[in-house]
Amino acid sequence: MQQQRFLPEYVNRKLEDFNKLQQDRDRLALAYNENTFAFRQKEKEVSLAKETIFKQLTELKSDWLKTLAELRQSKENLEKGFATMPDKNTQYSKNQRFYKLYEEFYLSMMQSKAQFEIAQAGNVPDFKILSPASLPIVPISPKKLLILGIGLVASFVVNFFFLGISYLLNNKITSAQEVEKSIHVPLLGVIPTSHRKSNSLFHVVDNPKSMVSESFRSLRTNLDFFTIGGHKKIITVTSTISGEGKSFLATNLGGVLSMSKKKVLLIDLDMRKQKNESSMLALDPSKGISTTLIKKTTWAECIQSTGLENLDFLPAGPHPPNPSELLLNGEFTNLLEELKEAYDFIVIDTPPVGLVTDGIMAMKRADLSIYVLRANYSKKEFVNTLNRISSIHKLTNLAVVLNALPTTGKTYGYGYYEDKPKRKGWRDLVKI
Amino acid sequence: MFSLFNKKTEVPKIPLKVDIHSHLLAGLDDGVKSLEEAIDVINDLVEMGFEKLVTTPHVMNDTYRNEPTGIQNGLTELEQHLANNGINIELQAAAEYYLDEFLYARIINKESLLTFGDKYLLFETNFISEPLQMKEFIFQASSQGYRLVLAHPERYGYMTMEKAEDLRNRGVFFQLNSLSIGGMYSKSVRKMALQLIDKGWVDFLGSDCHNPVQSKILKALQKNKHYQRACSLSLLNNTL
Repeated sequence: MQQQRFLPEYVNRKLEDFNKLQQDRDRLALAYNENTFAFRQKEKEVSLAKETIFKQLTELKSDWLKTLAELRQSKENLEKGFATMPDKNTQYSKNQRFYKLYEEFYLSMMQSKAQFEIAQAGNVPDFKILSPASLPIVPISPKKLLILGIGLVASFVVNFFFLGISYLLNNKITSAQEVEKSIHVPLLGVIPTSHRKSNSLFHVVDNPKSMVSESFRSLRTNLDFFTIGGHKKIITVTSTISGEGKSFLATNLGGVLSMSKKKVLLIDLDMRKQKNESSMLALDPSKGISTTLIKKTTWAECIQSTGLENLDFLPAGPHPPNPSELLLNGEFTNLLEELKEAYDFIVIDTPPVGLVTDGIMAMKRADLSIYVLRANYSKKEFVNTLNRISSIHKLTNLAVVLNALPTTGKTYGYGYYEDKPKRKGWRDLVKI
Repeated sequence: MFSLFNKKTEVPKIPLKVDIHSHLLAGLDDGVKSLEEAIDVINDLVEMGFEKLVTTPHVMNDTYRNEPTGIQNGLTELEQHLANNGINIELQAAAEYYLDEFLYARIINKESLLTFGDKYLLFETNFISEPLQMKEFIFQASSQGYRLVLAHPERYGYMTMEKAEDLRNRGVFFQLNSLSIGGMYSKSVRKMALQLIDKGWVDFLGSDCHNPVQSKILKALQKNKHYQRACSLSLLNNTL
C-alpha cells in the first residue's frame, strides 16, 4: 500500500501495520479454516486495528476541518486588510519622507561635528601650563591705597603750604608770650576781649565784676608795684597807630584808679583828632588843653566832670595849627607840675607815636609810659617801633599792655566773675 | 599697672570737719544774700559732717571794703540767728584777701589782718595774670609770721604746675575748691584741680560756698571719687 504523504507518520505506520495484518489473515485463510482459533484471533486483531485507524482518521479529519475554518477566517481578514493597503502606502511614503529629512539633517550635524573635531584637533597648542593663572580679588584699577596715599601726601603739602602762607602773612601780635619775648620792656598786663557792651566810657564802672575790669584792677596793682617810691604819678598811654585801644585803656585805667579813692585827672592830649570819647565827655569843645597851652584859659577852667567821683577830665580843646610846638614850649611842663599838685594820678591819652611826635613829649615827662599793643591787630613790627623809641629817647619807664587778647581755656567760666553765663557746670555734676 | 587695681579699692572716707572758705555773712560780699540763705547753706554743710566753719568774706579794695569790725558784727548776727534756729555749729570769721597794692601796703604797714588757726592767712589774686607783687608779698607776709593760704590755685588763668611748685617752695599752702573737682567753674579748672590732687599739692579743701545752689552741688559731690581722693590726702582742715 502506498504511503499517503499528507497523513501524519503515525497514521501511515498504523496503516502499514493493518495491511500486514490483513495479508497475514489472508494467508491464514488459505491455510486454516475460518473457524479456527488462530484465524479468528487474526480476524479480531484486524478489526481492532481497523477500528483504531478509523478513529484516528476521524480525529484527524475533525482537526483539519477546524484548521480549515481558521484558515478561512484568516483569509477573510487578510482580504479585508488588503483593502486598506493603498492608504497605508501613502502614510508610509509620508513617514519615509520625514525620516529621510531627519536623517539628512542628522548626517549633516554629524559631518559638522566631525569637521569641528578635526579643526579642534588641528588647533592643539604646543605649550604647557606651569601654574594656573591667579584671579585677582581686588581691581587692578583704581588703586585705592595709592589714591589715598597721594591724597594724604597732597593734603600735607597743601596744609603746610597754607600754614606757611598764613604764617608769612600773619604779621599780627597774637599772644602775651610773643610780646614778652620780643620786647625789652616789662609787660604790665593783659586786657582780655570783652563779651559785653558798655554804655558809658567806663567799662570798669559798668561791669565791675567782668574780666576786663578784673584785668584793669590787676593793671593798677602792677602799676603800683612799678612806680614804688614815686609820689606823683604821670602815666601816659600811647600806641603805634590809632585803634589799638589807647583811649579805652586810658579812660578805664583812670576809672579804676579813681575807684581806689585817688584823685585822678584824665588828659586827652590828642589835639589833632576829634574823638567820640572826648566829645562824649567834653561838654564844651571850645576849651581844652590846647587853649590852656596858649594861655587862653587856665586848666582849672577846662576841667570837665566825668560823672565819676575823683576822676576829672581835661579835653583836647580846639585843633591848634601846631600841636607839637605847643608841647615843646615850657608851658606843658609847667602845666604838668601844677596838675601834679592837684591830683594823685594824671593819665594822659596821647596821639599814636608811630605817626606824630606829640606823644614822645608827654612820655618824656611821664613817670610811666604805657605802650598799648592790640592782639590780632598790632603788627609785629610795632615792637620794633617801641624798641626804637625807647632807645632813641632814652625812655626807661616804658611798659607794655596787650589789649583785646581773646579769652581761651581757663580764663573762661569764672564762678563769680559774670562774664560768661553759667554753662553746663551743673549737668556735669549730675553725671559724676 | 598697680594703680589700675588700686582704683577699685574703696578710698577710706575721711569726713571733713572744718571748712575754711565760705561766704556766709550776708551783705558783706557776693556770698549769701540773706540770713535765711546762710541758714540753708549751713544746714547743708552740717549734713555733710562739718563741725566748724571758718567763713571768709572777700576783702577787696574796690568792691568789698570789709574791715574786721564789720565782719565780726556779721558773724555775731549770724551766730545769733543760728542759735535762734537751734543750729549748733562752731563759727569763726576770717577773710579772703584779694592781693592788690592795698593788701601789699597793709602787710608792709604791719596792719593786723584776719587769720584763722595758726596765723593762716587766706588770700586770692586776680584770675588773669600773676600780680608783680606776688613774690614780694609772700616774702613780706611770711617774714611776719603769716602762713599764707592761696585760695583756689586751680582757678587762676596764669597758674601752671611749675608756678604752683614755685609757690609751694615759697611756703604757700594751697586751698583747693571742692567745687572745682566737680567741674563747676570750667573743664580746665577741673583738670588743674585733679593735677594738684595727683601731686598731693593740696593742704586744705574749701567749699568756697556762696549760695544754697553751690551747697547742694557740694552735697552731691561727696560721692565723687576724686573728691574722696582729695579727702584722703593729708589735709590740714581737721587740725584747726
